[in-house]
Amino acid sequence: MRVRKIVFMSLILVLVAAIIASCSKNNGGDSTNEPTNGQTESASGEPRMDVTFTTHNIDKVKPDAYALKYMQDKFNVNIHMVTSNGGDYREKLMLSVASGDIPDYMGNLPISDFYKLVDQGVLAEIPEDLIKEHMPKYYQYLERSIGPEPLKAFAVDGKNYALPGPWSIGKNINVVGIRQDWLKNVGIEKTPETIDEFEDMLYKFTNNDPDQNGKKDTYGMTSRGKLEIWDIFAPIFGAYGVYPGIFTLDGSGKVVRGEVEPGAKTALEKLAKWYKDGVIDREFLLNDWEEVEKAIIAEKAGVAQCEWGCFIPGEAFWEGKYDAMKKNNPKVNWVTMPGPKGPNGDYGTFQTNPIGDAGMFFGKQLADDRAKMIKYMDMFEAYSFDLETYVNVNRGVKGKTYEMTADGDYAWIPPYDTEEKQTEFGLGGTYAFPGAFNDYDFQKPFMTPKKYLKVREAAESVGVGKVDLMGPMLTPVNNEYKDRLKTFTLKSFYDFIGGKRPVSEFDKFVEEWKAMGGQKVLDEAQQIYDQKLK
Amino acid sequence: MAVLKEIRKYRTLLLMMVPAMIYFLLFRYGPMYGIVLAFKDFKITQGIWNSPWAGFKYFDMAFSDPYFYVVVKNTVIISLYKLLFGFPVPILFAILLNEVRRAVFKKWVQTVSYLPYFISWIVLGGMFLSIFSLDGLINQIVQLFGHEPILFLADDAYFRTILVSTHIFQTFGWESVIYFAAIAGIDPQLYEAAVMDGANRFQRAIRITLPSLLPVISILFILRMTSVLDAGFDQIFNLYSVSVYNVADVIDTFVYRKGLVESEYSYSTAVNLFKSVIALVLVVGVNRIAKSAGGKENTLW
Amino acid sequence: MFKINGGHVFNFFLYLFMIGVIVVTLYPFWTQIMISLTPKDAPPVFNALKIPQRISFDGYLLIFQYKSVWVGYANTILRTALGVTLSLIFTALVAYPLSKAELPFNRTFTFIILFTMMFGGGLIPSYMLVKELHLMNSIWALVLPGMVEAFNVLIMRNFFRSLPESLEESARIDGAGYGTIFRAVVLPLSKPVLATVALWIGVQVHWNGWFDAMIYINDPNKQVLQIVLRKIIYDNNVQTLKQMMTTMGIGGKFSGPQLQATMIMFSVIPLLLAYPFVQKYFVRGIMMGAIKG
Repeated sequence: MRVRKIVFMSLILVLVAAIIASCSKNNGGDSTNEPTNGQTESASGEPRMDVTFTTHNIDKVKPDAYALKYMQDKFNVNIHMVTSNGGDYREKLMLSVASGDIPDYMGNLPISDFYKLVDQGVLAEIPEDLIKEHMPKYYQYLERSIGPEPLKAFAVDGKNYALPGPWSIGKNINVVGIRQDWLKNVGIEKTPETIDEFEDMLYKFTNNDPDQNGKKDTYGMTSRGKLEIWDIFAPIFGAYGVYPGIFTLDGSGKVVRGEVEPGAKTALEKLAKWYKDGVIDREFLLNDWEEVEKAIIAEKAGVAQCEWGCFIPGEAFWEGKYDAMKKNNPKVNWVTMPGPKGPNGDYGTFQTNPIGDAGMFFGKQLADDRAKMIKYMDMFEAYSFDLETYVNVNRGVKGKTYEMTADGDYAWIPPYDTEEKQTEFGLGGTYAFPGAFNDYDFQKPFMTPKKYLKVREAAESVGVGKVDLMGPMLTPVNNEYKDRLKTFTLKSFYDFIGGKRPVSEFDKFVEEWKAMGGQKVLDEAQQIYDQKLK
Repeated sequence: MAVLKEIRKYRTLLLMMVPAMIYFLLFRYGPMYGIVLAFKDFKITQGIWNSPWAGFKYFDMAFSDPYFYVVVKNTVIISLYKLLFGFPVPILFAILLNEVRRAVFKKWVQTVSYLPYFISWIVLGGMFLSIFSLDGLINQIVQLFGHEPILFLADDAYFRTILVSTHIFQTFGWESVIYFAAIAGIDPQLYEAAVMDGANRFQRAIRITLPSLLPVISILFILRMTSVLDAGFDQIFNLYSVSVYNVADVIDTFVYRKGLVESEYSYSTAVNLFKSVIALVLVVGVNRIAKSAGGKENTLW
Repeated sequence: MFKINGGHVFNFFLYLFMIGVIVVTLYPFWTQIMISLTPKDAPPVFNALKIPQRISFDGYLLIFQYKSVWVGYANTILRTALGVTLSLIFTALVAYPLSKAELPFNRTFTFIILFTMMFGGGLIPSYMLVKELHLMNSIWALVLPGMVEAFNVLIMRNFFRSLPESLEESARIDGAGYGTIFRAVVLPLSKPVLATVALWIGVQVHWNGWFDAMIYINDPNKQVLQIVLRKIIYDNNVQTLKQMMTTMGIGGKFSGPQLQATMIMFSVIPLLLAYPFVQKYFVRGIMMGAIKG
């Protein structure tokens, strides 16, 4: 009898002990890396404020990281780092918010979440004047990237809750790259400009052995096509003034979708012809980035759309994946253009709306803790727009981790020239405190050495086209229909281009599209545009 | 005071139950107040209790939403397909494997067959994604026959077939174990007598093996009926995508998305409560059938 | 003569069919192995029944250095061991009294337990409970909330009920109480059902479980293997992979599919190795449990 009782009691004890043990280990909170110096007061005697930042790379966060220490001392705070990693980040965040655990600051969430959070009263108002006062350089960057009244699009009942993080280079990011050495090989002197010249080039790239290997193993142009409508040969549609897959304005202030505009029909006719003649990638519908990359790097295709950074040396901006082909084949030479000009003089390709989401926002508890909100704002401002802070957090210590070259560039001092060593020292992207305010003008000196500045600036200004008007807007009707419409449009485009369905049936497709909900989606977009953007 | 006396008499038994009962009260009944969410307009800042009452608003919303019926239909269809096609497979497999005479080979087949049961859907999903991908095995076969490759997992014409077949792939071996056991329990004299009567292997399988399996088959079938609203969250969640929602979205995935992804907590709780009620009805009903058909031995309570 | 021939034909097809079953079952594993061994610059094999031109074990060598995988393994093993032990103890302890018809309020207790099979509070209250008990980010959040499943209680109860009355009777005549009978008579006879339930919980709830870990665990040092896997297998966009490869310090050496396949195999191999050893227990367990259950 006694033995049994002991067994039962000890079982319960184990359970209770286990719970208590885990309580004392985690003070009920999220996984936070303990702040460096357990000090609660700084030298000046003022209490240190506790702030929390996210990182996508929490495995590598070290409590004694240089960037952490620098920010903590500069702003007299204790910084806790929490993870923002993985595809489940959003779900976890929303669940934690729903159970009443609202983080000080959140961000990088879809626009619909932002409006939901505002609606639920979870977010703190961030008065525009407060932003102007405490984040003046940030505000200027907003004005430069978005335009005057940059916060208007996000306002709810006249109040602002967002600190958007525009991607300023998005508007001109995509260009069309052409193999200049191939042009020469097929006897084309000047870079094609009109759609006819472009067509001529595609045929010659296919038939006239542009790589001079004696085999007919090349074709003109490749494109993504597997996932999104806007990826499918966007520059060709651009030549006829339409942008499938996104909301754009036509000349008269009407919101339209390129896939159902008459221009798309003409573009599809062209593409169907090219497809039949084999001058464009016949497998485009299977292509994601990886396949496009393969076709270009294997030198099968001579034309592709990519971000302008693809076609210039990696040192000049980022990656330079197609410029890097020169290493294997020194003959490779790229020329970029915005896209061929159509009969009406239209040209351009799909571009990215600089404001794709609402950026960063504060939890409602900061509405009552103005001092803390301002502390965060000061830190955001400093991290993204103050040279000294930026250099310290991203480059470290002059003479130890970096030095200035004769050109005035920032250069790493070995062994800190590898990302691994930099992270180990406590620098770089692991400690990107605010997350997403990238002012490319401000960051230029860190991304592009002086000698590449000209190359970059030339490349930067090539791309033109249109962006998705509804990018930062809440579009419930569209959200309901968009997947169905997208699947239907992709399938129809595959069939039109691949010759399975005659392009003459395009008008029927438009009818079907509108009947499937497309008309409702267009009406909604028009209404939003008239109310909020006009 | 008869009750107290009873309790004294069985105090050991009652004491044994204490830890689990505490568990059930704390972890299972503790959160059950959350069900009221279905009748409230959940406001995060006010908490569950203080949110305003909404009555049957969210049930009305569900019952008037055509998509809700799509989801319920998908759940039942997928579940029934799995039952219809998946249920006989392990029986057939067990009977056929029983015909294999070489013991070593038999053991090998058996061992291999229930291997997939132990692999998570995260991993299995990854494997099937690559097998059904555009350059995967299935599409290579499709292309051998001169057809265009098909995005199987994004095509609503194929998705349910894939769900059912991969479900069978994962479970047929494991479920056949039960039938092996039952076959092993059949009196060998029955077979000997049948051989004497000149019955061939096929006849023996039909006349002896199958009837002997019937009780097990019926019990398992009844048990399965109780979970008709569970169409397999892990499997579907790891395989589906927006383009097949119209055929693949089931109650569990719908509740997950409404709740966790779209933060419609009240709505998702209401739909889940609907599911629970149906499940309760099914279990009580099935239990009653089992009681009247098979006696007390096979009932749930 | 014909009859014998017929038997041969049948046997031929029977064996062919069974070999087919083996091939189909093993095929997905085979392709993953092949993909995981194909280096980036060799032509992809994908799912064709052929062997890659060149084989490289780089994938495995690099995964060995990926700390998260080992952390995931350790946590998964820990949660499985802890979870299975606690579940078995609690489940058996409650199932035995319920198997006694003479237990007062038996039907009430059974219904209380069974009710939880259908009704639950949902995600938010469960989450809040775990938070209030301060279990967030701890192994207990993965072990405690799902510790006793009503269904397993039923299976065990039915098994106990099916044990011959006479054994317990004779023990009772010898003066043993319920506790002693349970410990000395019932439990030793119940190994099959214990093995079955243990295997079920161990594999399906703990080894392969991920949803609870996704919700309750934020600390990468406490994350379980399935979540680490999920991150690699499903966040299959170029950006994530690139970021991950930089994190791992392996640059662009890998193709996405190779990394995924390697991770898949890496998680499956231990199961494959342990499998033959545990196999014989669960076969017996499920046989006993199922027929009675």
